Amino acid sequence: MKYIIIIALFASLPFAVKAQQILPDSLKIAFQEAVDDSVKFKASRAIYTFYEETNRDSALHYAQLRYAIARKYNRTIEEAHTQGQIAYQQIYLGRFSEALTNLTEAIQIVVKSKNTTTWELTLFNTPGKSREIALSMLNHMYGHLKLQTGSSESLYYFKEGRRIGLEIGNDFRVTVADMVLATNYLLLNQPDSALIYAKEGEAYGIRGNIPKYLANIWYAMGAIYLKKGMNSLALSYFKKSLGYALPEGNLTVVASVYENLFSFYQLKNNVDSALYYAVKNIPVVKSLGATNTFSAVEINLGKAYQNLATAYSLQNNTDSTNKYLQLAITVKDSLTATKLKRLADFQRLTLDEQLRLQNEEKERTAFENKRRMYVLFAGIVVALIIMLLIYRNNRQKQKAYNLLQKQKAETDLQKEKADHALQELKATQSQLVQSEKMASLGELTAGIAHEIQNPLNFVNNFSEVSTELIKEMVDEADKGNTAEVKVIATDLEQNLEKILHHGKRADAIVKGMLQHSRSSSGVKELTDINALTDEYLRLAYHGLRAKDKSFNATMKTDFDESIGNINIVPQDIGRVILNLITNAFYAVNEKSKQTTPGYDPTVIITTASVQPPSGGQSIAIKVADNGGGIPQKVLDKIFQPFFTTKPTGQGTGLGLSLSYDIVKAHGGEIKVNTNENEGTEFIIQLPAKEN
Amino acid sequence: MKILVVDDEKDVQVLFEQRFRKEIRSAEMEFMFAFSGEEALQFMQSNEHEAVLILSDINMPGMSGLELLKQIKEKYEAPPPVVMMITAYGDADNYNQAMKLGADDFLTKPLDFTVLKEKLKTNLV
Repeated sequence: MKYIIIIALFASLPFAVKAQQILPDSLKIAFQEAVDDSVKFKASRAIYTFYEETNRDSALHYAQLRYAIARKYNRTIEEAHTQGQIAYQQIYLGRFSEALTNLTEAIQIVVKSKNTTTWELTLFNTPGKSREIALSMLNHMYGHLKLQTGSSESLYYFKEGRRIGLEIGNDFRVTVADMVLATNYLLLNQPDSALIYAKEGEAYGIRGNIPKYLANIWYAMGAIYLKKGMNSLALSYFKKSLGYALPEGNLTVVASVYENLFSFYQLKNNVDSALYYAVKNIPVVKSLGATNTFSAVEINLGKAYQNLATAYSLQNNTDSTNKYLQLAITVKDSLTATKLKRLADFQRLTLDEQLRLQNEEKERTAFENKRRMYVLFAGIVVALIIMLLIYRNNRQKQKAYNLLQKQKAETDLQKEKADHALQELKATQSQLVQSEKMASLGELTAGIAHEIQNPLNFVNNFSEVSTELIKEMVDEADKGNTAEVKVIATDLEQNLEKILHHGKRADAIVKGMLQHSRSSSGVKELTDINALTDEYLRLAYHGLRAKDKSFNATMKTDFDESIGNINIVPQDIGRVILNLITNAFYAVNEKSKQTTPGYDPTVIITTASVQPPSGGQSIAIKVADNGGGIPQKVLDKIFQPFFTTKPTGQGTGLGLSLSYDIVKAHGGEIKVNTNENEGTEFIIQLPAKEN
Repeated sequence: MKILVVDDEKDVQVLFEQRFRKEIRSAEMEFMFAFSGEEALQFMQSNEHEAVLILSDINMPGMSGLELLKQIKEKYEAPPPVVMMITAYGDADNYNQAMKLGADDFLTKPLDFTVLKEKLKTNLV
């Protein structure tokens, strides 16, 4: 705390301290004993400010110390700011290359920096933004570098520094900018422009209470007025300037004023005054230890010695003149050599820098071009890929569409085919049903023929014999044999009955045949099951006999006469019975072909009245045979359409299937019991009464 | 002369009795009837050699006419009865089989009784 107060006092009261040629002990102690780095930082700044225009080597040393502290704490803004101060000292020590390097670095740091925390960048109590202050200052220092290396670009950088200072309302930065711009225009021999900036700077300097640089401004104004020939005004400003510069230790200004005064008095031929300022300037310039054109006049020891030599020559003091002329030449040569070397270094560096920048720019451009090319190429590739994808997509769509069209056409065709096939199938099915009927009819034909033949034989024979009997009767009547006539008449009556009976028999057979072949009427009628069964049994038997002469079988019937008539479609049930009996005959016939003569092929037909567990009244028709039985492996297939065990061409495979459908349609059931090698029985159960 | 007629049609009896009424009346012929092959064999067994002529239908339920023919020709050798076969199916197959089994004659339905009478009379001679 103690040190901070001391520094604050020092900083705020520069006018109170007179002739600060020697660094105050308090400040040295404050710096050396500071434990806190922020205190050390501030102390080093105060020391720098003290040495800034008095002793450049010391100023540089303390600037570097501050720089190290700022770096340590990563105070980037202050780091850059301090680097700018280092550069400033290097510029006026003639070390342009180093200055350029530092400035370049510092500007980069400021531009990149996001750190706005500072210890003390609100310089000289002037509010401002630390980052902008640093930027303004660095532009300013760049201007100095340009100025000292003989480039007119200095004006641009000074103005840029001023602009930033104005923007952030920092009087200090505007004041120093006006100061350097005034001297710069003076150097360019534009006193009017120089005066404008000098006056501006004076105003800001007074407003901001910046006495240190007011000395510079007033010096500049003195020089301007001198150039304008306003000598008394010029001298008053020189005096005013020295009044501030001497106590401040602003040796640059002091040396500049002395230089100007020497020249002024030399021109006025005031030899004593000229000698006075020439002598007075030597220790000042020595103390400053630097060379510059900062103040629009050449200030260096060589020049100072030459001035002194000139002054002595005006006094006609040849010895002193020669002595200082010799010194001047020696120092100048040395200075010139150093300066030339440093300028060369700087120019080389600048050239290198330019080359580097150019290369960087080239590389950047090349990279940019490359990048653009890559981007363009990538774009083209992407576009191509997209186009390809779209194309492929379209193609696939087109393909898919074509495929779909094809498939649709195919589907339509298949549908048409399927429809057609269905129609054909339906036709085939009805044909098959018909052919099944015809097949069974074919089986019947022989039986029917036989069945009709027999009654017709009787009809014919009884008719014939009756004709004979009538002749006989007539003969007997002629003989008057009445008894015999009566006997014959009885026979005739009997014959006529026989004829009628057999006629009816034939008629019934024909009717049955027609019924069978005709499509089912589907009309149920009360039917005598026993008669129906018997009729078809005979038909089946004779049918088979007609086909296979060697066939014979025992047929047994056991009809329950009490079952009466039931309501069925007679053609349909007749077909079922016929089918079952035909199958039974087929089975026994097949077995008789294989077995010993002792085998008695037998088919038994039974009808019975039954009471099913479901209630109601049913009749059962059982067709049993002692044939080979049905193998278990085909048992569950026998009711399937087109399933047959008969050789190809002999069975339609529809008999049992149709039988099954017919029985189901009558609300009945068809069951099968079979034992291999023992026989099979089919049982049809039909409801006797409609429930 | 005793003639056994075997047929499953029962009206055959009436027909024969009327057709051969003169022959029956004059006791020239005596007809007996059986309505199945089995019945015919039974009759043959109980009235041995009585029937000298047998007229049999071939198509009958149970034992067929051909089976009956075969058994008769096997059992009754001397003198073998004359067996005439009658059938509605006058095809070569039936005919050949009947002849092979020793049938003496083969007639087809409808029966021509005039021809039958002649044949019977020829057999009687």
